[in-house]
Amino acid sequence: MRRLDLLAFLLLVDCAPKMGNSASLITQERIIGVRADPAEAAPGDLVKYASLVASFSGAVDAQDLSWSLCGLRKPVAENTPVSQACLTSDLPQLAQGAFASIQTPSSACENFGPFAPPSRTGTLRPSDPDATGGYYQPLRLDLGAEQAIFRERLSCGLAGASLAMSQEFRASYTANQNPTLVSLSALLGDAPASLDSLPASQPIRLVATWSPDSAESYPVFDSSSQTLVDHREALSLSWFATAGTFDDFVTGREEDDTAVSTENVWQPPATARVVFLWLVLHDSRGGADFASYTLTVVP
Amino acid sequence: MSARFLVLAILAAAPGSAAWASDAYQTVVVAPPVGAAGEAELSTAELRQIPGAQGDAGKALENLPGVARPGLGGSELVVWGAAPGETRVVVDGMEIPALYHLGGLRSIVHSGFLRILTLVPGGYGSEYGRGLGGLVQMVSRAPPVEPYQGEVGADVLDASFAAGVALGNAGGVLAAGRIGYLDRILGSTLSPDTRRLFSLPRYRDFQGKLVVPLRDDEKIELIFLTSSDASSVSNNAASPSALAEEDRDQSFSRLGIRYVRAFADGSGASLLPFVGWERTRRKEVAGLDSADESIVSTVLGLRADYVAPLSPKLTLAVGFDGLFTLSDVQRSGSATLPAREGDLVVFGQTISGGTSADSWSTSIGNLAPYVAPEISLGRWRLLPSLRLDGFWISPSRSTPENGVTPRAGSSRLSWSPAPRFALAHQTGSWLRENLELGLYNQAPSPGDLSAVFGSPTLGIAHALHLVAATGIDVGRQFTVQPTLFYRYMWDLVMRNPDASPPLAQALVQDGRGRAFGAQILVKLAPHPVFSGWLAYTFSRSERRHASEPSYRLFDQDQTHVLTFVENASLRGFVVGTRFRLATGMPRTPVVGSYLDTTTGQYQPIFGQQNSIRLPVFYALDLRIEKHFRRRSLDIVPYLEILNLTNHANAEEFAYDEQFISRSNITGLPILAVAGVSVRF
Repeated sequence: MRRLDLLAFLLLVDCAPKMGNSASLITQERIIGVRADPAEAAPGDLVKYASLVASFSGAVDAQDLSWSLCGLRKPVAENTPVSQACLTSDLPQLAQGAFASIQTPSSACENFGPFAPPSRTGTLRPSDPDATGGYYQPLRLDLGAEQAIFRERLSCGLAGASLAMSQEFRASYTANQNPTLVSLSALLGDAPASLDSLPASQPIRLVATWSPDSAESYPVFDSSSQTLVDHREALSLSWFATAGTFDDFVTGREEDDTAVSTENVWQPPATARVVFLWLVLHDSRGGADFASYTLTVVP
Repeated sequence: MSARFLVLAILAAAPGSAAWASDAYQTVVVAPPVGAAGEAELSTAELRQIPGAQGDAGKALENLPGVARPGLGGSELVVWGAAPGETRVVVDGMEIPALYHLGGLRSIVHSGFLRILTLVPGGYGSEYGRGLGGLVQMVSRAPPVEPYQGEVGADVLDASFAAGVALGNAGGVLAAGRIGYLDRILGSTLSPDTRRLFSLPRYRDFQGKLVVPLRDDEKIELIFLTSSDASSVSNNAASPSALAEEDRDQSFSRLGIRYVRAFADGSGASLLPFVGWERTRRKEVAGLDSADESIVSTVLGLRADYVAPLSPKLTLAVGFDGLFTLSDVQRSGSATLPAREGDLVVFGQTISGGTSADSWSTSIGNLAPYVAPEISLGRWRLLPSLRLDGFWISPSRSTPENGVTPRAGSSRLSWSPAPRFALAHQTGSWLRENLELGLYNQAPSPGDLSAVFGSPTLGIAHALHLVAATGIDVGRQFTVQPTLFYRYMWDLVMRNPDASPPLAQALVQDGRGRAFGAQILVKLAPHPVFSGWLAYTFSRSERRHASEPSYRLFDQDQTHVLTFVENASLRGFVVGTRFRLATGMPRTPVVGSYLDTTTGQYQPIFGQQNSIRLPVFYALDLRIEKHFRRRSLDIVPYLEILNLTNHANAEEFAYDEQFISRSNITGLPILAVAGVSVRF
């Protein structure tokens, strides 16, 4: 019964499929970005929205874009950012076109915030904030069969905190501002390259830069320790183009990374042509900025 | 059957019994509850020849009927459609939290430490409870009768040992352990996508047993078990919004002192107080959301069993089974991470739910006296039994933390009778029938009693088991064991489906479940040349919320599971084959997607829940070994080829970032493992 096992060899091969980054490739009209001004609004505030709709032939002034507010709370059982019913329900259209001005509902902080809606059966469970302490009012955008969701960040204050803590939070919290994209540059190896003359079939390093104040600091209430914890916004950049392929659909910086740029590798198409490129910058509190570029690929 | 097994366990541990010596170094795996209809037994030699099990008795359980095929890297045991957390695992009377290490590569207890390993998928006796599903029962070996015996082993997964030393008069010491190192070997070779699906666990375990004989037929055993696991996976995404990580740690220990006495009149008694510690931590990151849960528990247990043959027709078993678990729980992050059974989620989905935090403690106790008489009337055996489950549940917080409001907890004691009945009949020398019926109860887990993430008011879930089995001897060549089973479950814990649930009711006890089906085991009678069996299970397991009109498939349902295992010995060669075929597990289709422009991530739109399945799994495994005898050494070189046909089995669906195209993440390709076993 005494034995010694020696296994001579093992062959193991990776088994995961390579899915590619199809989300970056624009082949038809797609809603790819929404920016709200202000980026964080109190109930009753009027918010101006701007959309970014991309198409194979460049940016589109989407006159048919429909804007709706969704008042349906997300059940705890659903793993998505908004209730699935927000996508399937008939919602009244509040605005149409590439831009919209919509008043934030006065009940937004009861419906989607820390203050539970009134009930005759007892206290209801309030919505959970996201990791940045934020609560959001969902909006649905419809463009033909294309749908997108934007969530407007709400200024609701704190719930579940002592009076002193709430006062401290109000004193130290600054409402979110949208980040600002500054530039896009191209590198061929380590040498700068012009966006108007990029060689076909050679990988291009694209570097996007944002302003230093794009990543803001903010306090988050930790309900377990009943303290305020300081955080800094993380930034994510989505890359879209009408041709070529990116290494990553989204790149960015963690909250503890203070760099003001992010980089992606773009493989241009094999033939000379004009390529439209869009960048959509998101901060972790729901702020956004976007920019459009035209690249020229030469033989 | 239950009382009979208890007698077997006590006799096996009694120093003066014949079983003490003759069974000292034999491991058997007993298949489903066919009782007097005869059990399927596998010897240690058979176990170590099953391709894919690597000589691990616990892994061999996966080849028995009634057990769903776990996914690659899965460490969960799904028996007759019960959730993994509903099946109890017991070692020498002490309940342990899991059968397998993380990753499912190894069982937690070394085979060299075990004498008996029993799987009862349902309908087990009154001496055990606290679970709605099946029962895995392991009984440790006795120390050797020779001065010392042992074995050491090493392969690509781990290094292990098992050793025993006799101390005279049937006393002695037995110890076994294992240290895994697969993560160090393969850690840097897997792609990020693969590492998101397959974690490379680090594990170690140790089992020890000291037997001190007191008088004839009386002894004390000191038993110690411990296990530790850690795993970490990450996709190393270029953006924080696309990050996916999971870190898991789990460990436990058990220390028990068992007093065993066998009396001259054939009765026997045992008393086992034990103490244990458990620690689990699971940290998960999905996009900008995360979840971090830590549970630290102290376990106090007591088992007392007494079996007495009152007359030739009546044997009485009485006892007490108690377990008290004191837990401190801390949790922060998303309420929807990790996903629960019934959640709509697909692999790779970034989750943008809310985040919260809670810390609480719980006391959960089960005090269960039982009585189980066994009545023999000619060809009939009746086993009416009763277990009285008393459950004490006490969470420290009834409502979420709110400013300076002092915390208020709650306590409640409830009694849930669990009557069970077994009937066995011997129609002829070749035909036996069994019928088993019983109620089973299960307390909520400490992690579900949160006022933020769960509900402090959760109570006891219940199940009804009904099992009918037959054992048929077909000549001297085969034993055929067909079994029908039905399990109905109610008061299951599920997420609250309401968009605006009441405070502290994120989980509700409105779940209903049912699992039913049939299985058949055809086993070759012991033969010098051939051995093996064919096992087939048809099963359907379903769940629904009380407010839903119809059932949906259970997340881990597998309709068909077919396993064929064969070994042939000829001229020093042993050729073993294993063929497995299993229905793919249910998945929810993605019928559309939308861009969440706030994070820049696409999100899926789901179709009907669990309305599609992963493709059918099948694999043929081969093992060839040759025996050489050199002086006192038994040298056995062998070659194992897993997935001989190189079939690309789909283990999971993967979607592109827009959730438009779907492809399969496939399991292991053809895999060759060669080695040599030296026994001395």
